[in-house]
Amino acid sequence: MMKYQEGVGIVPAVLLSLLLLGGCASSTPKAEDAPATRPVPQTVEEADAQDRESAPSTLWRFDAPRDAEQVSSAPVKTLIRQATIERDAGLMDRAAASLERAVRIEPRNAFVWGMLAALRLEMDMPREASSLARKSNSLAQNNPFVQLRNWRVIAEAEDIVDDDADADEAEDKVDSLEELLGDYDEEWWP
Amino acid sequence: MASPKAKKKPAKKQAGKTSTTKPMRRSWWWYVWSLFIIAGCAAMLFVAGYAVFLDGIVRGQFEGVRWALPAQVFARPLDVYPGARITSQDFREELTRLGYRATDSLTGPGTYVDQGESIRFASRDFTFWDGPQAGRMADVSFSGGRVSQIKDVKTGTEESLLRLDPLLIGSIYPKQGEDRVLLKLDEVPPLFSAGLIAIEDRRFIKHFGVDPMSILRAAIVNMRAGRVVQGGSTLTQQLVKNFFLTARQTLWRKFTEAIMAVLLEIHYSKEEILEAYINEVYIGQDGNRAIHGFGLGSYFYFHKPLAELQAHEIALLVAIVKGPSYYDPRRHEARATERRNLVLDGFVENNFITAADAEKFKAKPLGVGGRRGGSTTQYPAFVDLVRAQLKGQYEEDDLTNEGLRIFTSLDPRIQTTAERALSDGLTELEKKFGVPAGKLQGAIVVTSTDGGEVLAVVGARDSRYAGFNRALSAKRPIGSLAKPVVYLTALTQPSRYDLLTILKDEELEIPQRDGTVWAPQNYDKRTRDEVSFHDALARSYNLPTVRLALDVGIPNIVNTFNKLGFKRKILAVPSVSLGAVDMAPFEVAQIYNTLSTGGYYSPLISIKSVNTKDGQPLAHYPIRLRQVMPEGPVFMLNWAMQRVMRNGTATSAYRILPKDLNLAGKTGTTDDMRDSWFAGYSGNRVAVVWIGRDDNKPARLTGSTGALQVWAKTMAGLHNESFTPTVPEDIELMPFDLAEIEHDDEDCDGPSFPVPFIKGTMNRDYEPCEYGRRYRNSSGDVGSSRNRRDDDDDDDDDDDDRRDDGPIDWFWKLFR
Repeated sequence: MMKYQEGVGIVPAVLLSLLLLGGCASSTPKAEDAPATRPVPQTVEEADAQDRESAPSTLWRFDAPRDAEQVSSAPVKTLIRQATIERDAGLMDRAAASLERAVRIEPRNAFVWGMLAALRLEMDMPREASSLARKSNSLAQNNPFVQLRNWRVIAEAEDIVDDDADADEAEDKVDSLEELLGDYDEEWWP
Repeated sequence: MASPKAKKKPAKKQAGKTSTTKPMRRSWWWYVWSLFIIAGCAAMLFVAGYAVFLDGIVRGQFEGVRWALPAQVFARPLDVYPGARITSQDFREELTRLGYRATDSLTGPGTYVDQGESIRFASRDFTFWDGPQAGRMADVSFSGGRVSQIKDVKTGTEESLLRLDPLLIGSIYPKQGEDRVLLKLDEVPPLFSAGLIAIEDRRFIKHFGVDPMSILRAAIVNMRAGRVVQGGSTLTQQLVKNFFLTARQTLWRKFTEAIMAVLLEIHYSKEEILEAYINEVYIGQDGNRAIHGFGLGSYFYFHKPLAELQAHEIALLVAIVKGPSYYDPRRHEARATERRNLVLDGFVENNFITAADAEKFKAKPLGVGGRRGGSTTQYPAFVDLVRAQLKGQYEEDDLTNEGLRIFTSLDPRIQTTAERALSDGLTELEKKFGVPAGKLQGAIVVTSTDGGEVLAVVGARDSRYAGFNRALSAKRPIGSLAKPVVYLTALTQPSRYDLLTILKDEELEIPQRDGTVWAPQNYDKRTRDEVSFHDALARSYNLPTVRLALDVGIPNIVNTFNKLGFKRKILAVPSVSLGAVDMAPFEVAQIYNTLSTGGYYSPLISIKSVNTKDGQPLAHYPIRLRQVMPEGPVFMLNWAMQRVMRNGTATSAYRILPKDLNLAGKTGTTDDMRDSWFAGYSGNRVAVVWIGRDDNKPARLTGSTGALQVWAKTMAGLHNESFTPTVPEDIELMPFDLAEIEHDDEDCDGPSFPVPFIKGTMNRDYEPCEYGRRYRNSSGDVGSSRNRRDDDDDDDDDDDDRRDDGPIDWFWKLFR
């Protein structure tokens, strides 16, 4: 039984978020995904594979921040600047350590994780790079600007480690995001 | 062997010769004299030989020992920045731990001026892993439990980030237990070296290792007194004694000591000998650990470097040398004070300080800090972990000899909080539950969620006790801590399970390989026919869990354990689902750390970086992470684990912790209440607590009555962020009335609650409520109307006593 009562206690922000994140609340689940019609997976891997079939569509926020400077606190900005200087001087370990210091201060800053990912890629650590970029993506779900940069890192990293499936998936993401964002071509490290 | 014949020949010859000369009878004293000469020659030969033998030892040992330097282990440096969650009290305590001295105005590095909500301090020069950092003078202001501003004292400019020098938490020294912090002579304050020479060996510069004058003087004084009141040993002799000899006072040892002292003086300069003395002399005892040298001695007694000691503190160190046990300032304060004041008088006689200053210094207390050492004994459990994680990467010799500088992630503030929570908590629990005093033991591990840094390790109730480290080594069955792994494995099959799936709560019997039958039961020995998935986890029901585990497949569950970071082999038997697998608290922390980050595994690390003693980086240990579980199912599991805290077996945590703090966790109890576990996390901290007995007798505690209480106390002392994981892309939220078990005909009379589903997989028979429907906005007073019991724990609730869902705004807040 579905009833609707207007204006009871829900904060508009919540509704907005739910719309953005969860899709339309009044939509009913799709029949083709109902358990009865699907083979029962026997292993975790099978279940994983089934999950991927129903790839969700993202609701991008085009007003999302594009730059670490827009969202970071003063000490994190300082550390990012420091890391930039260190990277430019070829002191990659130090640059990474400065970013890790920033991560400790703001563990949910997707920009810092993304920059760290790109740095690890430059440091020839593709596996770390890919994971860090995915972490960054999970923190910046609806931010297409962060995601595009991260998917580029993932695509390159997975290509290096010869994971064709993951590299292809990442390439697809890059393509669709590039299409979406037009001429947006910012990199993590200019 | 020569034949008797051969021997006779020369004898004959000799006899013939003597027969031709004038017969002479030698006097008896010719024989005495010859004997004397022969004995003298033999003695000289022997002494020379012995000296050569000793020379080898002296040179070998001196060169070797002089450079043997244990690795130094540092805690994390405190980052100070506007907005940092550091109260003025936290900051004050940090400075105290670092041995900073409160003064009226800044007088040099390592001092601070306490102005209440603003603290001015002068930091020390320090070589961090990323290079040297000069000391700074800054004003730090605090408000609302945070740093509000940092200003450079010299320039007046605002600073965005400062880093304090890190606490030296220990050394990795050889097994025989000698520890030291090496000093170069030019790092030693002049008053100290001059004072030491003046008091201990005033003719040090002139003598050749032994000082006959001072021996004579001492002998006369001692003869007059009728006992030994003065020693005639030079600093060189004392050094020899420390280096090579035992404490036995024999004439032979004195003799050897004198020879070695002379040999040392022949080979090495006065400066080298003094430097070696300063680094070698025995200055105190800390359990098994012998404190050697004034560098470490200064940390051991005053918690700060020798360079920062004031005259009365220097005098005390010089005083202690005479008899570290007899003049132990912690045990014999009066005796130590008397001798310190004598030394201060000695300083005046030598014009090192004025008489007026001496009187001022005499009036001061000894200034000795509590016994926490500057070293390993302070946090033995953590240093154990550091040692274990370094193992295999460095040779033992490199760790104990090369003076490596090891930078770790230990947070001394969190460590102290956890230590207190455990020792206080266990005492309380023993009283409350009638356990004989001192019988309960425990362990705590605290990590940071992102990056997996180990912040604190408590291995025993008496955390200074460097014995059995339960956090790393006590492997115990984990009980219901295994359940989240079972439920997570099920949630990775979203077409079969979601959080509202109905599970059977009926008895079952499982035949074992050995022919026996395993018949698990719920904690309350009752069954409820049907329970919902999320409720079975929140209330820790055993029967639905075992049924679920059998359904998803035990090997799949074992696989999930391994993915989450458990490295050892698990026997794939059904009882694994109820925690029949032994783990150390540290291993549990690894698993729960992966859950707390949404399925990203970061190997728990205690070491950030290793540098040489000159500051060159050897190795850096970066944040590593790997996605091991899909984010959606972990998000759903975390939703259910938050209900453990709000509605399940762990609600009593909110008697201690603020109600607006979102937490996720799980209680664990093993058979006969032998082990009491709790593992859980906030947005930034994971903590695991184990309580039990070393003799493995029942602790009489459930996970909720025991470990949870200590966990909550620990968390209450940390600066927690609320646990609000980002909603993964593939998750959608649907509102349901969770008081119901079946959702195919939802009447939505009760409050509705958003339940996460993997998009597109929600059972099409479910009928969700409408958003906004009877949403109850509460003040956040969770369960005040609820009839909670003190002993609530795993499986203790009746199904007819359905708890309401409490305020649900905590969950809605996730999406703001």
